[in-house]
Amino acid sequence: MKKIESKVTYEIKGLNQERAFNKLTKEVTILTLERKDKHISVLEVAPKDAKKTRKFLRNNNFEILSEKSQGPYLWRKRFLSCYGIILGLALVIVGYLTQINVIWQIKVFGNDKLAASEITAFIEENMGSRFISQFNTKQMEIKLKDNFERLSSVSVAIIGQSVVVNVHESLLPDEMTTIYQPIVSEYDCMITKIELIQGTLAIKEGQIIRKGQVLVEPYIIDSQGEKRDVKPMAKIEADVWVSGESEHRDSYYKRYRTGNKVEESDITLFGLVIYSHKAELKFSEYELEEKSENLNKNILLPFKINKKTYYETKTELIEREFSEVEQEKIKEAKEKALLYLEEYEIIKAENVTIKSSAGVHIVTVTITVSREIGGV
Amino acid sequence: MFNFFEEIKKSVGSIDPNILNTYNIINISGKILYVEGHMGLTMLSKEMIAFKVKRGRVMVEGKELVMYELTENTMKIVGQISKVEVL
Repeated sequence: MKKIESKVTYEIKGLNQERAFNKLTKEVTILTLERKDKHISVLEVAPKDAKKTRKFLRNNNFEILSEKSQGPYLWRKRFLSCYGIILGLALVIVGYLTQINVIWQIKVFGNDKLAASEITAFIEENMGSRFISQFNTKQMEIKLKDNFERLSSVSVAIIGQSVVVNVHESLLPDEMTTIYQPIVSEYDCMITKIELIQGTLAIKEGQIIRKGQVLVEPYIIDSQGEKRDVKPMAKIEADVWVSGESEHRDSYYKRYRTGNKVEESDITLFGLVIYSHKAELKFSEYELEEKSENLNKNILLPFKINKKTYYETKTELIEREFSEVEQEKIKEAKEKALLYLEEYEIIKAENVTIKSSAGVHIVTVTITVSREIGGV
Repeated sequence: MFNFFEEIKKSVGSIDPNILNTYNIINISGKILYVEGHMGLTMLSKEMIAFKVKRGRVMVEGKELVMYELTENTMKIVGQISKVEVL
């Protein structure tokens, strides 16, 4: 029976093959060697020499057109690689079967005041083992109820690889849980009417109040003389002042553009000017606007155009008496004050003050409105 | 131990043994050419294989020539060998 030999066959392409084969035979035995073409040969070596041969061929600038293994060596190699795959699959299956019985996460539903992390931490501490089969849901429910007084009912279940905890918290009166804040004023105002519902008043009618000042404190002193926290509630009305301002100068300089303009432009590449257009500037007064933009979207040749536009301007002295514009300025100040009013608010009073000094007149319009500032 | 080449050399006693120690070539039925003591391939094709030997060069001509078991100093040439020339 003919012995089946293991061998690795290389089809190679390159020059000066004879010289290379002479060098190669110093390291390995070439089992067969056949010239297929002027530059193409096929050679076979033993599997033990394959690595050395491949390295030699690559180092000597040969192109390896194909590499084939055959014989028992290849079968063994294939078997070993298959065996590796089978072993890998077996490990994956074992890993999967092991992890399927393990609790991976704890989900908490229905909590409001109580933090889910607190319940989760408690379960993790008290679960003992992470294996599903060893987790006792009934026992955990009892432990949770014993430990968290706020819970009125608890149910623990295992769904998939998660422990699902549904909780109901007992409702405690707000007085036991909430820290109340006092009612404070949002405006500078004068108190006109107070109707206290709950809490302790810190103001009285007719009092002028600053923004941020406390109106009602969040507590009461009961009949026993003890301080008790309550939610402050009151209907408080106040005259709130809103104001707007406008200014007039008897004389001022006004600068404006005449409409004449001159343009200059440069084209640059990498910061070097490759084209420049300069214009003669005859304006005695001007405003300058500069703009730089890419001429194209080419990254390799980023041409840029820099434009300069000179606008001719003139400055003029404007002189106007305050008496001529007084009503106009009052109207302007009032419009600014009206911006602070809320919808459908009734104006109780309007007050106009004018301050004049060194040709500058400041008009202030103050509007008084009645507004509810308490919290019910 | 019996050595085929040494036995042949001994049987022809008139030639200087130093000259006989360069290379050996055996042609088996014009199909296989066994070479011992070559000093490197110089040409390889289907029709011609040439190699260096000490003090010369050998040219093998034929058809469908394939090299078998080429080592640093031995080789087998297999094919239709028509001519072996020592230059």
